[in-house]
Amino acid sequence: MKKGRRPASRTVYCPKLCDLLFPMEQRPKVQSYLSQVRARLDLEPRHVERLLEDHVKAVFRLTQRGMGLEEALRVLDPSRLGDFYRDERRDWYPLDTAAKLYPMSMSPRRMAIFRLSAYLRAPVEPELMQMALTYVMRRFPYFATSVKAGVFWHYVDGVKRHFAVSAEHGLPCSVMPFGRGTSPALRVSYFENRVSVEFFHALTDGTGGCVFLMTLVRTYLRLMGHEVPDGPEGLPLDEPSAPCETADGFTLAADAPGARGFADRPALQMRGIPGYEQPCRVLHFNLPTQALSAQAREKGVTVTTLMLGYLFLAARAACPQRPSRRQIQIQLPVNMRRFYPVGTLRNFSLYASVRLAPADITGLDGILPAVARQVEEGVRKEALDATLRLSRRLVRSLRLVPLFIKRPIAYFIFGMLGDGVFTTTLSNLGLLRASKEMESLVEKIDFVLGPPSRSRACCAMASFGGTTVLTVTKSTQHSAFEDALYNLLCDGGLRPRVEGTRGGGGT
Amino acid sequence: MRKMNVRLIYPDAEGRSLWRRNRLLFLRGAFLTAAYLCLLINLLTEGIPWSLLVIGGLAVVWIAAVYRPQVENTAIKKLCDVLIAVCLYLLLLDSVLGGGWGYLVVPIVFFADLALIGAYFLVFFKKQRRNFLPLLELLVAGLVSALCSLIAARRPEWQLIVLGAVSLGIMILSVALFRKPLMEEIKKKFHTR
Repeated sequence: MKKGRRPASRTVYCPKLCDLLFPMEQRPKVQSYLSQVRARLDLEPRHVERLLEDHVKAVFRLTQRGMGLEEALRVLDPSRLGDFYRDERRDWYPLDTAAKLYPMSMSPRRMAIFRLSAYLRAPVEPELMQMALTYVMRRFPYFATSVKAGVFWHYVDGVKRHFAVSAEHGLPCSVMPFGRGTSPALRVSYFENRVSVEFFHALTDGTGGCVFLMTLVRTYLRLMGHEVPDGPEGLPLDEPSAPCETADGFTLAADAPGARGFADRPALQMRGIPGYEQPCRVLHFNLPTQALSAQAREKGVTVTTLMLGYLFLAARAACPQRPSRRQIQIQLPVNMRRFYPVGTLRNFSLYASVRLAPADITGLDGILPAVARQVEEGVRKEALDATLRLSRRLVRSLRLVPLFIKRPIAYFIFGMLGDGVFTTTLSNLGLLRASKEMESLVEKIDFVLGPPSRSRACCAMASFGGTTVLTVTKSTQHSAFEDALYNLLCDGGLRPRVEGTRGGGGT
Repeated sequence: MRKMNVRLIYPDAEGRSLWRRNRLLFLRGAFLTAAYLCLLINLLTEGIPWSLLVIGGLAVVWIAAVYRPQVENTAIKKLCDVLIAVCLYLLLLDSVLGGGWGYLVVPIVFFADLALIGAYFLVFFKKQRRNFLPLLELLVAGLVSALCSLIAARRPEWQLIVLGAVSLGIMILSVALFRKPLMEEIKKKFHTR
């Protein structure tokens, strides 16, 4: 070789991993595949490295599952990445009206986070879940964002990075560190047969989060080789993101006189000292959907009303027994998409309040008519529209106040009041539908609200595949509420199967 | 009363030490205790208000080493926060100890640090373009203070002229080199929707 001339060198991607996982004769094919993947990436070097490794591991996993290398490379075709990880992101989104409060009122120990989990019928294969997430993020650019601070409001800014699926550790819905420049506002994790997505509430609400989770699970199942058709549960991956998915639903209510809704009196709180580490405990009450619906039908109320009845009784047992002028108040989030059929993935829910004096809470049959009446009244479109208009006006009137003034005020007010106007919350996602094939592969879905700041427990509910999961997130170790709820449900003939974290502050 | 049996379906939490779980709380407690103690001793012993210097120093250390913003915890933000804290501390030192040197030293520290942050921003523009707001605030502050001194003083001091020139220079250079992306960022940062 003449001096000065270098041998023609080809970049070798993930050499150690390839050497470890693939026999010599397969390596050239894998390298050629990786070079195609690499051509679709323009990220920070560490993110490129991680994405390439993800591809190598996923190809290996598919071959381990009995697929030929050619077939595995076809399934994980680099074209599935599109230009999402290569082109510069220019999209950004102002926060919707409801979301504006969340980044202003958060602290290192308090953050509005919720979690949606799907329980598969087989253990999660992390390598393929990682690839599913990589593909799904391209379909949901709105979720591939990071929270940023502007002069007047926060906003979410499109980021180009590797989005990781990690093994679950720590407490569910714990604080999400997204201070770094491109930190995402969601977290995907897995444990045994469960895949969970935790969202910062500023990004979306339960309905939007559910669409994301179901699309992720469907993509994963397809990578696993299952024939799962597109269904009502998620969005098709091959369609581009539509503008209506990122629309601010709060602009939809017509301008009309009458705007009211936020102020309320402090509610009676349950007993128990708030724990230092939050949440203290998460409990899932698994109930048979059919039996629950039958009982609700028998009593002439909806499932939500029936569950509210049980919660009132349990809260009554968990509240101080001395007489109080305060009422037991339950917050009931209402999905506004039922009145405005928009396909937005952002926050579009408001809440109604259902309240009863402790002395009036005598028995389930005794309180259900009053609860049903209040629910009907509270979820009327006119009432919610008035709240929607108020929130819109509030945002409009504050739009020119700089964030450094607004933020401490919002933080202080939220810290003082917080969810103290409610004894507890019941957020019901309702019956989640999916294609038959998907229902046969997913056991159940659960929905976990982040720990409340002042009230001692909050509840969320979701029904899927014949199981309704009522999840209670506790902020105290005092167990009066869940004990009472368990006994009431058993007495009602529902026989819940209870799962959850370890008591005493840890999992 | 039935006993509720709970099936554990979450992994055991990683056992973090008491210090790791509560370090912010402990540090805040230590800083506040030190500040209160110094103030108390200073009030009891009289003399110059040296406790103010200690409290100021603690605040600078807190901002530089402990405080982490939850949103946009970036290098530029950190450098800008530390710069503001140091300048304010220098002014405090000057006012407590006397000597009138603050008027000279603070603008020098300000423009030197501004030049450093500006260079960092321009060199790593692709990565840092989304984090420019704290720098912009400092540039505006530098420019305004230089203009004020030009208007107010008959013979403006050189350090303030340099401060104004550095601020204006970084602004012009940024716009000249990266006009389009900067305008996009400004649109995001100043949105009122």
